[in-house]
Amino acid sequence: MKIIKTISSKELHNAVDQLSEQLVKKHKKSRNLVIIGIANGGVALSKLIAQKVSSLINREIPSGIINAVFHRDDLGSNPIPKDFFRTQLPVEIDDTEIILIDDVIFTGRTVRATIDEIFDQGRPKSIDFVVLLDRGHRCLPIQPNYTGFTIDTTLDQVVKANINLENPLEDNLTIYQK
Amino acid sequence: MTDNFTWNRKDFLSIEDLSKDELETIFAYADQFKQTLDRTQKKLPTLRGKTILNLFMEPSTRTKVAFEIAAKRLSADVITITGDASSLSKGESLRDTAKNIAALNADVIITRNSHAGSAYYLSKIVDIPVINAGDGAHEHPTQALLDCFTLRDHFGDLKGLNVTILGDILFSRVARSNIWALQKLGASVTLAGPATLVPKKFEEFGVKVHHDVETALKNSDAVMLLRIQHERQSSIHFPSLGEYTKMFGLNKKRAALLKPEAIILHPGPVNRGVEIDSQLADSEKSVILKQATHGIVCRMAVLFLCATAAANNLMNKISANE
Repeated sequence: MKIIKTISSKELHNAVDQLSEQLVKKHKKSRNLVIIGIANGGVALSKLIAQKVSSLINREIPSGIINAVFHRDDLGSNPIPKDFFRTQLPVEIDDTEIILIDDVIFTGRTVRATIDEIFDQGRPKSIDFVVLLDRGHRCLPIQPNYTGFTIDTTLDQVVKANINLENPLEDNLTIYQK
Repeated sequence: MTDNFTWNRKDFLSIEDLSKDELETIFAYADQFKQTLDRTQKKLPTLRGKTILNLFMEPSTRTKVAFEIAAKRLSADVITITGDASSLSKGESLRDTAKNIAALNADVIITRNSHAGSAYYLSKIVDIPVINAGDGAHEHPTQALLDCFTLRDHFGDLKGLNVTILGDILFSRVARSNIWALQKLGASVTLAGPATLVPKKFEEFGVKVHHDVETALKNSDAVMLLRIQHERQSSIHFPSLGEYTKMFGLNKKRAALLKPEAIILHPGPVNRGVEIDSQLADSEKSVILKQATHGIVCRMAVLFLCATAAANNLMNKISANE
């Protein structure tokens, strides 16, 4: 696949720092804060943001993973991947203030499924949605509360966020032509 | 690129038909469904709007209820028809019953029948998915799934495990399905029991056959007990139940021959004091109740995969005709 655009590690981490600061600004007094990454793409990013927010707020913010696979509306034609993350929620969902994180927002269907999955687990007080990249092409009335980058893409392009907590210098966000 | 689990079968008829990858696909979905068991809200929306028909022409408790729960957890509507309450008891043929069920817009038929091959026969005459819940002495494929899922849950992997199946093998569809499943997943299988119920001919399936129970149990990682299938036997295969228990029943002394971490499985119904000592059935080694729970998630996986494959096949046919 041909590379159309690459966002470097430095740009990506600057964006993550800004997102974390914005989250702390809003949530520094929240007592029931929990950070949840959407499997699979949002897991590494959520861990990174959880580390940064915990450090800025000076206390450990619980973080977890949510897998909304059985709420997806395209599961029949788009089967579950072999290396999927399982749902791991560190706390009971009732009355929590959730920061929900994904790497990329596209049609909005994944977020719709994830919100349904969250409400199957309990009733949170609120959900804020954070994405690193908004690539457009929304099919549902869903918008992130916090966005790192907004880039117009075409439907025949693929976006991949590479985030490695062990080796952040190689992190990048790349747009490919199929 | 990440590989995905794939499934293309509309019907689930036997373990013999399946590849190891297909078994792993079912387990991957069952793993996902297992996560939902402890929730307050246990229902998932995946088969909302589908109607599933349980056509049980033989008695069943666990399998029938587990299929019903599985279908309901996936938000499907379920109707159960049993032998004495169906038009089959009024002389209607199985073919006509199945055709009528399909004409009533059911989306899946789950069938249990005393005739081997009945599920396969139904799958050829209706377009909707047919799930085999036991056909005569042929196969009980979802039972083998939950047994292997339970072994996988305990040991992580079946590769290299020594599994002994003890009891009435000759008349057991559970044994046949498990022989296929265990070997496909890499386990070594030993069959044990009286020579009249465990013929040497079974060695053709690639398994070991022992008529001495102590030899069979030694160093086993797991033992699957099978009850005596009185309903399928037309002649006497051993002198008495008392003698069977004495010669082949699993008691504490015999269980001590198993590996220390070994587990005991039983598909139920358990005849306490016959094939297994009552205390042993309730011991820490027993995973009988876990098997019942795993029966729900494995059947959720099968229902989901077959119903979804059928819907996709229909969509592909519609697109091809457009």
